[in-house]
Formats: sequence, structure tokens, C-alpha cells
Amino acid sequence: MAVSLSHGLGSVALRVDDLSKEYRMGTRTVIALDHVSLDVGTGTFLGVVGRSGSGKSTLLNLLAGLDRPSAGAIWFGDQNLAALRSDGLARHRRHTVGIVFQSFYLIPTMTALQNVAVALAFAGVTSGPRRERAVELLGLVGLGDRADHRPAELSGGEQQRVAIARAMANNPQFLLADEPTGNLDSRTAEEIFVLLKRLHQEGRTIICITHEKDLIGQYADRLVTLKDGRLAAE
Amino acid sequence: MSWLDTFRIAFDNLRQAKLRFTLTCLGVMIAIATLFAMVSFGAGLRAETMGSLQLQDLLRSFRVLGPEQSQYITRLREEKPEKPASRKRLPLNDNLVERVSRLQYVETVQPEIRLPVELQNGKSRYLGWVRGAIPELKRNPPYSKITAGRFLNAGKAKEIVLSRGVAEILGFKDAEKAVGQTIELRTDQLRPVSGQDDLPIETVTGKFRIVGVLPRLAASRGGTFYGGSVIPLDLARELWRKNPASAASLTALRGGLESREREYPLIDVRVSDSSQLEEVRKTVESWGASTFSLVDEMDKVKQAFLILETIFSVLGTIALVVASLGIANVLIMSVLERMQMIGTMKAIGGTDGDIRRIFLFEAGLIGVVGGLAGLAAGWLLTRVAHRIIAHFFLKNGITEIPDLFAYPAWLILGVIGFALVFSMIAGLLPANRAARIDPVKALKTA
Ligand SMILES: Nc1ncnc2c1ncn2[C@@H]1O[C@H](COP(=O)(O)OP(=O)(O)OP(=O)(O)O)[C@@H](O)[C@H]1O
Ligand SMILES: [Mg+2]
Repeated sequence: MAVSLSHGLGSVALRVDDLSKEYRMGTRTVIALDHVSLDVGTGTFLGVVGRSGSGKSTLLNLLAGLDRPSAGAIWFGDQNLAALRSDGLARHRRHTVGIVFQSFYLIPTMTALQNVAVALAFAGVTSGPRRERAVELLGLVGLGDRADHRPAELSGGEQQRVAIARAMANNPQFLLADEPTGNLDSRTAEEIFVLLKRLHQEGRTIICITHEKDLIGQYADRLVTLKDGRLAAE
Repeated sequence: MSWLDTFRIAFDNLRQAKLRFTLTCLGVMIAIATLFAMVSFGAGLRAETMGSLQLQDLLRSFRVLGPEQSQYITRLREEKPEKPASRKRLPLNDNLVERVSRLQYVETVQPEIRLPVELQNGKSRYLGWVRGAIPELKRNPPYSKITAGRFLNAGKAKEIVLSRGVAEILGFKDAEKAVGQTIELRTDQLRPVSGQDDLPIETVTGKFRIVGVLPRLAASRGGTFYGGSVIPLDLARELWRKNPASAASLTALRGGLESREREYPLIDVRVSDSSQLEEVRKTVESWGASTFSLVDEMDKVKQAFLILETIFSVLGTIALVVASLGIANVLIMSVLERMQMIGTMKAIGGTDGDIRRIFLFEAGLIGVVGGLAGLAAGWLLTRVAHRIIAHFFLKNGITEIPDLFAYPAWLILGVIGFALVFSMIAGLLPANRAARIDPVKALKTA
């Protein structure tokens, strides 16, 4: 049974409507998301928690437009992701959302600056402004002096900051993070949460999956729990 | 993403695997070098043959054939022989020579006179043929290329122009030194018989002055080694009339030496421009003569070149196909290796098209780099081959060396275009595969 949860803060930025995702494994079907409905208001910092395998990543990948739902709709404003083709989803990932992963996923052969710049290049920003903006973004995450370092020459926390700078490259309204602190120690994790909070205070809508229940409580202004592919109480 | 950025990412990707990139390019290079060298050889051979002065000269000449030659040509072309009675035979005599020379556009008319002779210089002898030549022949190769001495003048002066090979047999190692020397020319002549056991043949000897020696030339430029020695036509004709070289002259002997005019085996006609050839030829044929011109054979020659060039191109293309498979192979591997990067690029907004273009550019880069290297290697290869060929020509005393390799612009551009097209086709499969990769799965791969 789907539980609809409306927060009531501001206007609705994102509406998940009766969303399901199934994976076929030969004859078996795994239901990763089971009729989930959810409204997220503009400027919310939403924390998503739940046991391993409860469908958190599945939900986030659907919101990111990296995957397609089996049923249901995902409304970003008046755009339903379920109706978009691959190019439309790419545009969504480029302009509407920024995505941050647990394993950073920086391109190892590129410097921090180039990693940020690639996201701008995909959006068609020309090389002059691109460099300027990438330098500015690295400054915002406190890595102005690490621009020419390759990922291997950066600490985990620094790599995650580069990834956040890259996610912010095209100034998206949403930041989607899948366990961004999963690979970091608790002090570094806290630094990352502080950074996310700052981005939230600048007006962005943040959706962050995490296992750090204690920390997320301090930063998120709303928390949902997934259990076996369904939304549990807040 | 802009083309330049796509190019940059593709270039960076290739730079990450330098050895693999180099080896793949090497494959393309070898294929392109092979293709380039072979087609260059075909084109060079065509230019040397079709564009040669010798051929241009032959294309404005035709031959009026005597009965033997025309039968031979008929057999050669596998045509049905005409009934001998159906046509009154036109005798190839001085009367005909005179008639043809009066036609419009005709430049020179030269009856073919081959006289069996023995040439002697001291103890050195040469047994063979000399031909009779009109002075105008000096305009045509190989006689136009005489560097030692000069060609024959008009008249009946006892002068001779030797081919290089004959001069050497006669003991003249240096062509320049032969000029001005006198040699003996012996030939058999029929004579009236006085008694029962008297031979109807006597050998006459004349002292001939060497006025010129032919240079050594490649065959495609009119070179001839032993043939080509000439004496003035009028003199040759006199000696030839009484020469017992054919059965016809024995018949003539029975009826008296001068009673029947000897016919020429063929008459060579040259017009001032090849466009007028057919007109003149038709006129002569309308008189009942059969003629032969190389123009008739040009289609076959062109066809032969086309076949040669096709074989060369196909061989080169096979090499290129093999190299393309190498490109496809290497790119598939690199797609598999870079799953995570592809997933990341999609996650930050790269479209399927962006990803496809990156890999296509990589393929294209391999093609262009390999193609340019192949062009350079092919050029080098053909130059070395030319040097080797030139060496053999020089060793045989031929100084005017034909270049058997040509580098027309269409070849250079075509070869690069080929390399590009083939590599892009090879890149299509890996590029599409990369473009279709599911980003979620790609990001999960380690
Ligand atoms: N590609 C897939 N094929 C089949 N099953 C899948 C696939 N991806 C996820 N699943 C299943 O879907 C369910 C939800 O997975 P998901 O990755 O969303 O969990 P999660 O909440 O993110 O867990 P974790 O906290 O461990 O990351 C799991 O049971 C998982 O086995
Ligand atoms: Mg997960």
C-alpha cells in the first residue's frame, strides 16, 4: 500500500507518483520499488534512510533519470521522466539534477579542474567560460588550490568535493546524493554534510541517501524511510 | 558537446593507451602504404605508357598491310578471313606510296624495307637487318633522341645510323667515338646467270659512314637494342630490289630482274594529328588496302590497365579491411575497459550521441594518423623501388629513366579518405555499443 506524504513546505518541486521498479532475473522478479508516491517541496533537504536492499539507490537512479521506472510517474515540474527518451533524460541529468555517488566516480586521467569542466563541456559551455566556472566551483568547495591534481592525488573527502563541484557545474536545482559519505570517516563525512547544507541554504533541493542516521538528523529537514521498496512512516 | 571537445576527449583516451594506439595505427599504416604503393604503380605505369611520346606518335600513324600481314592480323583478331576473290588486291608499290603522300594531312609515308646485311668493323661482325629510313623519321622516337651524331639526310649517301647494341657488337664501346667511322656493309644481290652451274647471287660490299648512334632508351620510350639501325631509304630500296630474301624475287628472276616490281610488305603512314588518322585511313581502305593502327588496340590496352589497377586496389583494400578489424577489436576492448567512465559521462549529462561520437573520433583519429603515416611510408617505399629500378636501367646504360610511380592528387586524397572511411566504419560497432550502455550497470562495474 502506497503512502502519500506531503510536507507542506513551499511549492512541490518533485512528485513521485505510484512509482514501481521491477528487475527480472530469469524467471524470478525482484520488486525494488513497490508503488511509491512522494512529494518533495522546493528547497527541501530530504534524507532517505533504510536497510540495505530497501530500494534507496533504485529510487535515486530513477529520480536522476539514469534508469526508467517499470510503472508510475516522476514529475519534475510538469515534466514526467517516464515519458522522456534517452536524449531527454540526458538533458535532465545535465541541467535539472546534479548527482553524487558513494564512489565519487571521477575520471582518473583528468585533473580536478578537467573533471568539473567535462560536465560543462557536455552542456556546450565554451572553453573560456568553462575554465572560469570550473575554477570558481572548485573554490566554492574549498579546493581552489587542488585544481591540477588528479583524483589519485586527492583524499577521499577532497574527491567527493570535486564530485560535488562537478554536480553543481550547470547550476541544477536538485542535488541527488547516494551515500555521499559512505566511503569517508565521520569527520570528513561531517564536512561533506556541511557543504551540502550550504548548497541547500542557497536554495537547492537536496535528496540524500545515507546510513548516518545521527548526522542526517542534524542537517535534513525531512526524513523518509524505505523498507522493502515501500515508504515507511517519516 | 562541441566537436573540438569531443576530439579532445577522444585524443586523451587514445593517449592513455599509447602502445595499443601505436600498434593499431601501424596496422592501418601498412595497409595504406600497400594500397598507395600499388595504385601509384598502376597510375605510373599508365602514365608512362599512355602518356609516352612513343605512344602519342603511334596514335597518329597507321600501316597499310601487305597480304601476309593482313592475314596475320585477321588471325590475331580471330576474325573471319575475307574471301580472297572478293576484293581486288591493291599492290603495295611506289605508286601507292606516291598516292598516299598526296593525301591531305599525311605527313610522312615510309615503305617498310628490311634488308638482311652483314656489317663489319675490323674483326667485329654483325649479321642482321638494317631498314631504310626517310629523313623525316628523325622527328619520331627513338631517332628524335639521338645524342651522338645526327640522323640521315635525304639522298643516297652511304651513311648509317646504328642502334646502341649493334654499335657495341661492332666494337664501338663509346657511342661518340663511333660517329664518323666507316664500316663495311655486305648484302646479297641477284644477277643474271651466264652459265649452267653459275650462282644467280653475288655479294656486294659498300663502305658506310656511321653518322649517328641511338641512345639506350627504355622500351616504353621507343628503345630498341639491336633493331633500329637505318640507312637512307632510296639506297635501301635499290639494294632490297635485288635481294633474294623472298620467294618473290626468285619468281622475278625467272621473268627477268626488273620485269616485275617488288611489293613492300607494309607501308607506314603518319598524319600530322591523331584526330585526322581515321579520315586518311578510311580513304586508303576505300582503295582496297587493309590497314592496321594501334588505335584499334587502345581499348584493349585501357582495359588491361583497368584490370591491373582493380587487382591492385582490391589487394590494398583487403589489407585495409584487416586493419579495420584491428581497429574495431581495439575499440571494443577500450569500451569494455572504460565502462565506468562511460557511465560517469552519462551521469553528468552526456548523451548517447556524445558517447558515440567520442569513440567514432577515436576510430577516425587512428585512421587519419595511420593513413598519413601510410602515405609517407608508401611514398618512401615507391621512391626506394624507383631507385632500385633506376639502378638497373643505369646499369644497362639507359640514362633517361621512366618513373613507374605516379602520385596524382586523387590518389593522395583518396587514400586518406579511404583510411578515414574504413576506420569510421570499423568504429561504428564499438561506438554504438558504448552509446547504448546502461549507465546504472556501467557505474556498478569496478
Ligand atoms: N540491476 C539489478 N538487477 C536485479 N536486481 C537489482 C538490480 N539492482 C538492484 N536490484 C535489487 O533491488 C533491490 C534494491 O536495491 P538498491 O540498490 O536500490 O538497494 P539500496 O537500498 O540502495 O541498498 P544499499 O543500502 O545496500 O545500497 C535489491 O534487492 C537489489 O538486489
Ligand atoms: Mg544503494
